[in-house]
Amino acid sequence: MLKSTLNFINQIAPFEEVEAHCDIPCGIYDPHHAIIACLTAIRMTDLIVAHKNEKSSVEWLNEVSRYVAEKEKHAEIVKHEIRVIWGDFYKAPQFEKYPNLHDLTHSIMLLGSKVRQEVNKEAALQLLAKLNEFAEIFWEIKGVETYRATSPYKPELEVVYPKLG
Amino acid sequence: MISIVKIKGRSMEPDLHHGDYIVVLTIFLNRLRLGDWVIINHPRFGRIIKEICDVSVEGFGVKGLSQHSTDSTSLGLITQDMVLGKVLFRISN
Repeated sequence: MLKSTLNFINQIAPFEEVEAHCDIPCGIYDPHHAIIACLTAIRMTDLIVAHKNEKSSVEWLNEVSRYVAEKEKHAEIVKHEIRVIWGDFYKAPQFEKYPNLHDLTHSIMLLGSKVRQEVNKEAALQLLAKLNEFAEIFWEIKGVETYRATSPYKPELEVVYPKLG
Repeated sequence: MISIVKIKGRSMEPDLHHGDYIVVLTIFLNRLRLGDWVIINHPRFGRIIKEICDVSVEGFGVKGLSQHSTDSTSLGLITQDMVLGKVLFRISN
């Protein structure tokens, strides 16, 4: 509430800003971490669904709780990784060349939240599709060719890899 | 004096996030302690916010909270005259 009020005031009369930047830009960005996290979230979704008809027990509760916790964690990793690339790596020239980057990033945020909140395989697959699209743009900007291949582990879905070497 | 300042950047995460606000005391800055968050006018990095991690007779050592922040060695010794304010409290979501 207080922050919202300050945000409103800030629009009219901006407050002074102080830098809390990451002072040593490492320059290391890679969307693959987000893709791996998404695959994990999909895998957890599959495992939760696979256990849905089992009789409730302490062991069942423990197991499903762990799946849910991992799904939550990795969906958030997806959002974090993409936010960092969008906020720190992309600059005005990239936004001009790829005008859909903002919308694409925003859709990843929304789908990431949906994957966290729900047990929704369809949303998780849509999230992966958006991440693949994001990764292809990222590597194109870096001048690195990409290819799509099926991940060599469950959930065995098609993901974008950089063609290195 | 007291002022409100907006945070830009992520070096104070997880405690302070980009877009948060802080209420800053800009007077009576002669009793700074370990753990205080301070606004510094740094000759290399400009106006930055950091946490005091070392106190000596010559000045202070400061650091960010995020693993991505500059370490205290790179920031160098912070002298009293470089300190512009001390954070009283934060306003975040």
